[in-house]
Amino acid sequence: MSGAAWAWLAVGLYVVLGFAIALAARRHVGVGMSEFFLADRRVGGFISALTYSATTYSAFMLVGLAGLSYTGGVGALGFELTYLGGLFLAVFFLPRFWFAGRRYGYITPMDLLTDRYQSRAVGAVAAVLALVFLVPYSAAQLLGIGLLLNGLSGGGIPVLAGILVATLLAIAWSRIAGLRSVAWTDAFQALVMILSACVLLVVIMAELGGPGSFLARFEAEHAGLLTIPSGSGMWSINMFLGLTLPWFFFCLSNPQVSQRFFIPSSVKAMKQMLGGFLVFGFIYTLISVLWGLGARMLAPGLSNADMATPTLLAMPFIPKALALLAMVGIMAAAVSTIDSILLTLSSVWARDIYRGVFNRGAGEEKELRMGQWVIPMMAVIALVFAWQVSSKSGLDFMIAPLSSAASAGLLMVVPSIFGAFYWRRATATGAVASILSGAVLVLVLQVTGMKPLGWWPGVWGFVVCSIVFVGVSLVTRAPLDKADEFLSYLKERLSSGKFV
Amino acid sequence: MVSKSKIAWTWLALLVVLDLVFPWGVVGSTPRFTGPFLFWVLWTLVAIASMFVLFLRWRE
Repeated sequence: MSGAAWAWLAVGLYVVLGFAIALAARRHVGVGMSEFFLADRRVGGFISALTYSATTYSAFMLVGLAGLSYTGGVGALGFELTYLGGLFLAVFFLPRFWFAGRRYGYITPMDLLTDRYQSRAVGAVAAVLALVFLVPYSAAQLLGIGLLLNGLSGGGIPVLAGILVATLLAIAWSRIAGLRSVAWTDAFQALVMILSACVLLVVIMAELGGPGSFLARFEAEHAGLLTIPSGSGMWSINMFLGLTLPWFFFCLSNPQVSQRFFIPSSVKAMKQMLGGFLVFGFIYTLISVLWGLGARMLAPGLSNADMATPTLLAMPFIPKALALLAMVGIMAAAVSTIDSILLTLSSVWARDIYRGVFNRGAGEEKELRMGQWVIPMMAVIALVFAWQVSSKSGLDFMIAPLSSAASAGLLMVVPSIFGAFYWRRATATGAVASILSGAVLVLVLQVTGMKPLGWWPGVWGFVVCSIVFVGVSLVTRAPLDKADEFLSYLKERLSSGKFV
Repeated sequence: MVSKSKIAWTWLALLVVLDLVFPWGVVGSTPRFTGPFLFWVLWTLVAIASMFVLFLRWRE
């Protein structure tokens, strides 16, 4: 059998298993928005941790981050571990989202903003922001699968075919049973991701003479990649901050992730979700970076660093079955992220734009239908974007920077989220002005490629949107009655449960 | 008395400062795995341990 045939066979097995799980999840589905998009807020700790992990970690890790490590060395590790450190924010915000979600019945993070600021405009603007900036992020995942299948099959499977398969899977698994099918398939996929990555790392290290030999050889042959700003000077503080700032606030700014804050069934499940994710994330990050560094030694001189992992997996010392398992693991990582994004975007479209702006009297059934209709539409847009990007080269079109650039736009909602939970005087006008000014600035800087004073778009956008948020809030009228009721409720619940 | 929340926010701010100061100002030029690589691994373990200390106290 050819490489392409083996790759298709592995993908076929993965698809069959995934569909079996998704269809099994369908048997438990009830009716309504909360049921479809949040599994009725009754997800246990184990599944919550795995779906949070699979949603967060995507093709970005073993393809994009490995590629960035291949090119830039240790700075890539700092970049991704700073994200994990940023999960400290979840210690503050996870219980706040969770309590507020239960009390007020929020479906999306934008729903929360709408109610807290007593303004549909805030939710709608934040929703449009998500719809715009999550497209390149989804496209980066699709591109990762396309490159992977193409590399592993020796070019036998076109990049577009991989992108198409991933798109169809993401549509199906998010449509079949909403969050239940997404969470269940996510759990299966997270286990495949971590197990396959661990096994392959052992094989790669063995090929390099064991961990001790790998460390010694890497220090001797690529010492520059272990320094900051690295031998090539790539990791300037400007670039590090430009990539890392959006990542640090990722758990708040990305709605497909913060929406997960609504789903745990209990405080115990919440703790298991956060703890499980931290352990998963630490291991998966180390593996991804070590893959990239290992690839640098085994396959030097690649013109496209995102091909580091596919090239590594195609090497003769890696048993075919293991390479295929790893390929399925990476594909699972990408699909589990895209289907979560599609599900979140469909809930955002239905709740915050369709019902929030166009049809305020819409019933829940119609709202749900509108959301489900959006899933394939958004998927096709991401597919077209991925296809366009697949023909380009250079740092800006590598998977890691592309993903971070998308998160730079989403970062503009963070001051409004902080204000919702921590500032009584925060206003709807301040939130809308902040999101719009920041997003427009980020888009302009990204499209023109400008980096004033060397700082990246996300950094400028975040500074400007924070100043605008505070300034405009101070001179406009806050919904004080709602703020007092909302904040005093949270204060009471948080103090009784020893939350910070 | 300073609240636990303020202590936690201050600790997070300190971690962020260390995350930038150490790699660029102290260990950045060490061309070995005991340089920035080890720093970031330890930094993350400290951050994760801090989070566990805070959230394991949560009660229903």
